[in-house]
Amino acid sequence: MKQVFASYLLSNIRLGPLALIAMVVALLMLLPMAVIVATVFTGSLDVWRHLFETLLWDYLGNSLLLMIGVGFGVLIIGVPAAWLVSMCDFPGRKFFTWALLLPLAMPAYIIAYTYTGLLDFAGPVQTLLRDFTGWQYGDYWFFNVRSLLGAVIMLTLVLYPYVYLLSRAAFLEQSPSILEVGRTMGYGNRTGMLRLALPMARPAIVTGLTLALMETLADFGTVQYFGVSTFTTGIFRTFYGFGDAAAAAQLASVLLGFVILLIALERYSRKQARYHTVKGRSVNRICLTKGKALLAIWVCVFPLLFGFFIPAAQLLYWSLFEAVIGDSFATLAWNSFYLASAAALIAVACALVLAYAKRSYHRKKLVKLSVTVAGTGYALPGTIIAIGVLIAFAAIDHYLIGLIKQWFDVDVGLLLSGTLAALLFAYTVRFLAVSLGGIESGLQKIKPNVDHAAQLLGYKPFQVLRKIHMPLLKGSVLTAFLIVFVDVLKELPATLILRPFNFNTLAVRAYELASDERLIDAAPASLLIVLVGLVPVILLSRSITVSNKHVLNKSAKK
Amino acid sequence: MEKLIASLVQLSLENVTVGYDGIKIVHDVSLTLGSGQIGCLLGPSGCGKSTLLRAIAGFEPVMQGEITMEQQLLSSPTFTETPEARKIGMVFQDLALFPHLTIAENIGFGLRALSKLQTAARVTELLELIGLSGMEHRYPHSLSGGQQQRIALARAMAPKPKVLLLDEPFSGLDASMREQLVPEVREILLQEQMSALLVTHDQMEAFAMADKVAVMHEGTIVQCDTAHTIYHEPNNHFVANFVGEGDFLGGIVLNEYDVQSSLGVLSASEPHAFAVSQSVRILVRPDDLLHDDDSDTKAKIVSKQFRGSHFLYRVKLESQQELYCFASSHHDHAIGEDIGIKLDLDHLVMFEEGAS
Repeated sequence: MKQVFASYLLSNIRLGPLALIAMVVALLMLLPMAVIVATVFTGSLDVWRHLFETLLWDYLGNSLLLMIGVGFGVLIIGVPAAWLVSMCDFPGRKFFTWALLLPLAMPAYIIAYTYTGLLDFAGPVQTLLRDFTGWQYGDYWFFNVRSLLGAVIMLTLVLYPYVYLLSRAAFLEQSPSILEVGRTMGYGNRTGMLRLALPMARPAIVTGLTLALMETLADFGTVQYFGVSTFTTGIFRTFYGFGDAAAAAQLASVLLGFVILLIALERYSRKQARYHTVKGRSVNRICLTKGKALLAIWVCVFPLLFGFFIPAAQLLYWSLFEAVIGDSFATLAWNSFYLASAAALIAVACALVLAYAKRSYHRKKLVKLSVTVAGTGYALPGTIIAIGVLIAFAAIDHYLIGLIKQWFDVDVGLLLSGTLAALLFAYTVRFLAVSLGGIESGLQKIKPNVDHAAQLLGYKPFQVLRKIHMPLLKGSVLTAFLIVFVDVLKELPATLILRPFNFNTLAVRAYELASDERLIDAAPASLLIVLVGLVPVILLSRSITVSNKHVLNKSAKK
Repeated sequence: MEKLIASLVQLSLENVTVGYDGIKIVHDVSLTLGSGQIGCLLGPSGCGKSTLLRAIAGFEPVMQGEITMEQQLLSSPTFTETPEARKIGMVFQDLALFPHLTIAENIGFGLRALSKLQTAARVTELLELIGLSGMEHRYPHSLSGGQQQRIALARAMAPKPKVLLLDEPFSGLDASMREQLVPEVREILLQEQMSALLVTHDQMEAFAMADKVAVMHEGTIVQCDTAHTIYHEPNNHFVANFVGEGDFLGGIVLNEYDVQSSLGVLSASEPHAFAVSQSVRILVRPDDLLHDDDSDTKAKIVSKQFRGSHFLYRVKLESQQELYCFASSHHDHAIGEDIGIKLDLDHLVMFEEGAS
């Protein structure tokens, strides 16, 4: 057994530096999750018992209700909208096709702050209502946004694009011949959709749903602000309130269980989706007129208006006319931008190493596994990663301090914990998959034979990289950088937990101001985050309209 | 034919074994390709022909044996010359054109040693040769499959490699395009006096392109000959089965020339190596069995296919043996009818009973 292991190790040591670096990166990416899993077995039973007797059921119940509500919400918004823009024709369809993605730019916590400001007692809506009716405080009932239902609505409004995006792609990929076969068998447009198109798109819809649910589980800002106790707020409170990292980690491990379930569901449905896609010519859209067209427009306008335009307009108004912009705003923006740039650079560099290792050693299972493993962080809520990093870095610090004290008799204090290094590491774990996905798909488009052809024409491997890969990969690398950059800018819980003392970013400042009930002053920081967040959304919507044209061109040629 | 007696051996493989992760995919293959000769590795998918080609190009090391070109060592178990230093050209199955470069830049990519002027001249010359003059500034994606195919060929030939490898280059094209392009490519190779080695699973491609065909099966070369010999005198049961249509007729050896079969006594022109009274199987190609109304030997038609110029009948002998039979399209007979047949064997191709 030992020998087998040793020879296995040896055969992989011979792989060369690229593969080794890739494996080290993968191991590092696993560290936070490993720490959390380890606490399940090492943590004290007392903490578990305490959790069981008190808050666990509260967290569990709220998290489940939240997931059910958001799941329901994103389905009834995302699927019909996707069906309408992909299978029907009505005024404004082209605009809605890309515009329906806009709410992706809106972090859930920001939309939550905005609607609270809009709808609370002193907000414009209720003020208007009172002015209009003459009612006083207590005379009337008004919907309280800061509730579980409110959180469900907020999350639904910004997460439905996942379902919309994936089911739209599925509808477009369906061969129209299948629907035509249905029509020859007597299924009209409506029954055809229910009996054929919808079941065929189901795997894609489920994939979109699981992505939305993962984001729901990971959400911290919204539920925290609305006072809904879920796992993420529980972890945060246990950690800050009681200073109990072990208990926080144990709570995180329960959350991790949920996430793993969702990942399994997502992987499964993705596999199914592959069997269902059939390439065909593009659809003959059903032309909607009058009442039906109006209904279709409303179905698309509703999520767009409430998920993007109303909150964005409110943020803009506050920022321009009412907010007090502090002196520190420039510093905040600078902090956010350089932190996000640094994290994006690291993530892109790691992704390049991993993607090239996988390409060069595609026959080595261990290398392939490393690359897969390195990308699992995307599914983990920032809270889990933050707690994992915190515990791991504290342990490393502890060890190093002891070592240095023993050798040099100097007390150096904390080395890694509470530094930007910890924060950057957590970001890399969380967002590596994002950059990896983009770079891998870019690299896959360069077929191995393209390298071989260049080599046979007399180019050395390094020259092949420069002459072929650099020009072909430039776009993917830039896009990957940009997406990680924006994701880091929006990230809240990991930043809150791991940031160095007195170090603030736009997201953290918005959170702090909102927590102090200074919603209007939080607007400028929020608006800046939304504006920067628009960039990848615009890129995404451009790429889907381009691929649309591509499909059309292809069918026109035929 | 005279090409077979090549003046100079361009590429030589001696007892080459290739594989990875300890699994041998190509076993002990020896092969030579003469200067200006077009050779072909023919075999079913998974027989190791592409792996062998990749070893020649330098993308796979050899486990045993040697690959040499013009007496210069390219590969041995202890040495693998890098692909970029081999002066070997290759046309890939997926073509692998550089999507970000124009047609002219693609073709000129391997001509770094030449001046700009010389490069342009060579590119123009090649574009003329492949019949795509005027396409210099277009990009690969704007061309049709057949045009891309020709660009890939021109790109590989541009630096005048010593050997050109073609890995299933026509498999992505539809049948009519392939029929047009295959003789065209052969013509281009002959004009450039390019030694070439083609890999394919399609015998028609192999026959139309190659001076010399090596049939591969399970990692070894089972026969290496001209196309005609491979078809009519397969030395092996696998080759007989894989190349062309045909059936095996049971027989018993009478003496060193004659064999008793259900279609009478058949005689070989040269003595065969089988023992008297041994059971053998005789290869009968569709064109070996002719329809003859005057013949006394009758067979019943089981099925028929009209192929324009001729009918391909499936007939059943009294012995219940089924065979293919060609007949001119004037001889239209109904299924179930008994027709006269005549065996017209040039060579007697026999295998031991039970051989596979």
